[in-house]
Amino acid sequence: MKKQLKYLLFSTLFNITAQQTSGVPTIAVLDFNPIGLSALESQTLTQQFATEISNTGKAIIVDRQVINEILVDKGIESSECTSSECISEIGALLGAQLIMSGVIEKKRDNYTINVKTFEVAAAMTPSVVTSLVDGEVVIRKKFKESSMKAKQSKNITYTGNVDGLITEIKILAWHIMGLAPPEAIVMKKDEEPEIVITSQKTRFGALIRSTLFPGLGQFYSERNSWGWVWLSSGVAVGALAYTQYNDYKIAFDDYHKYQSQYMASTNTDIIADLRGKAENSHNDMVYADDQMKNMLYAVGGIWVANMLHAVLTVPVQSAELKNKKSVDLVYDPLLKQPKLRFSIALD
Amino acid sequence: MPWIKTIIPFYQKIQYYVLLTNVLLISALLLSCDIPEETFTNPLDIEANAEKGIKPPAIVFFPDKIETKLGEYFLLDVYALELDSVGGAQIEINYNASSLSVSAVSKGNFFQGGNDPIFVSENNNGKLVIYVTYMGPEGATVSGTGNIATIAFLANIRGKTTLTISNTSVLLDKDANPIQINGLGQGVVGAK
Repeated sequence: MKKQLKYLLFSTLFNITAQQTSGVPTIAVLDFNPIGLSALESQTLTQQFATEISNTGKAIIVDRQVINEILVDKGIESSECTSSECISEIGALLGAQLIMSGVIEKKRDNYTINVKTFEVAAAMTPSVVTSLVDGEVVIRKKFKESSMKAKQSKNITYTGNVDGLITEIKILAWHIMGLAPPEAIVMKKDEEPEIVITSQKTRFGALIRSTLFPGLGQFYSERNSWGWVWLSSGVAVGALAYTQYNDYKIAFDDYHKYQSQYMASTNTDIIADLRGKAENSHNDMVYADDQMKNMLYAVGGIWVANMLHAVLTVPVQSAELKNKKSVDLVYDPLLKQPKLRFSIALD
Repeated sequence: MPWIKTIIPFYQKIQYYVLLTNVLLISALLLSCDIPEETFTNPLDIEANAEKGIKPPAIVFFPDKIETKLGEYFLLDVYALELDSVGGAQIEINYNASSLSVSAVSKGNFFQGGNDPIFVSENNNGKLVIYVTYMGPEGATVSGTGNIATIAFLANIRGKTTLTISNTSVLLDKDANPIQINGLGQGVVGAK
């Protein structure tokens, strides 16, 4: 183990020398702290990020195996290394000028990545001040260990599949290095296959909508004329039913008004008059009630007929889709070559 | 557009709520349209009385149904219905003396005018007799429908009790000849 460490130290010293000679900083990318992802997924994404940092040509990336071995040897979790002491220690051991650590969080299809860059040199503050007194080392002052402020922090949010996330990570790597990402990566982002969930119009969908309100299923099935016919007839007959209901309410109120006046009256002529009025109101009430019921039955009939029509009529788009071939020859712009496409309707 | 994903489940739920509302609305409309039974029970209604077999000239109670409370007073009018040239009347009312007690009897507005008519009442163990008459050779007569007397009763016990106008009641013309009475009403008092 000690031999290995010596080898590592040697290699890091070699890196420092190489970096000093080349003028590009050495960067140690620590594994991103995963939230809602597995450690393996996080390591893979961190690897993608580190590789892309390396691809920028503006940094030398410390080998991840070396980083992991040193962290294990020191008993430090990569996510915990945010204090100046840790950064200076790890940075010194790895011979890195910059240390990048981050958090990657997944919530359903949403990913949030936060990457922080720490400057090792800035972390190289003394933790203690010592002096020699009579040939012995005496600690004169001990500085409190504190969380170090990042030199740079970048945050991205992404919604979509993992392929797109890798592209986003690559772009982030370029941005964090203060560089514009190459056109190839940007184009890849634009060409990212977008999953479009197209709901195929079905008779059941039309039925559900027509059950909700007359005509809605027909509108859904792209049969707008029929939709208007069912909608307007439903609304018209419904309005007539409501008018009859209003008439019923008026007659009902009148009947009770005349009835109470009739019961209180002691004049035989007025009693006869009020009785006649109450009887007329009662007749009006019965008529309006009958009419309203008929109208409501008509509305119900229209409703049911509209539902039957919706379920018996094939939605226009569905018919088009059914006419589509299940196997056809298409040109793939990504691969720039023709290919055979096979599709199955899932309805 | 992630907001669409948020809206879709809400929209799907809304569909069912709207459907349920439609069903409830129609049900409410159907249920709310109750048709009350035609009831014409005014005791002074000639048509309603005819259906009950009470034809004018008649003497009835108004109202003929009273709901009261134990220990409470209530008023009951004795009405003449479609009388013609009546000069006097002797009206006998029978009631359950244990259920009701008469606290006061006052003259109504039917016998008015002419020489002031005599109005006397006798109450004796469940039988109330009211005398009202124009006196002398210039005694006037009254016609039509009107209140002969108002009786104040007190409900003594809970329950229903019936008051009747006895067929021994008499209507007289100005010459003291009896007038045929075709109908005699009855009243029902319910005390709670």
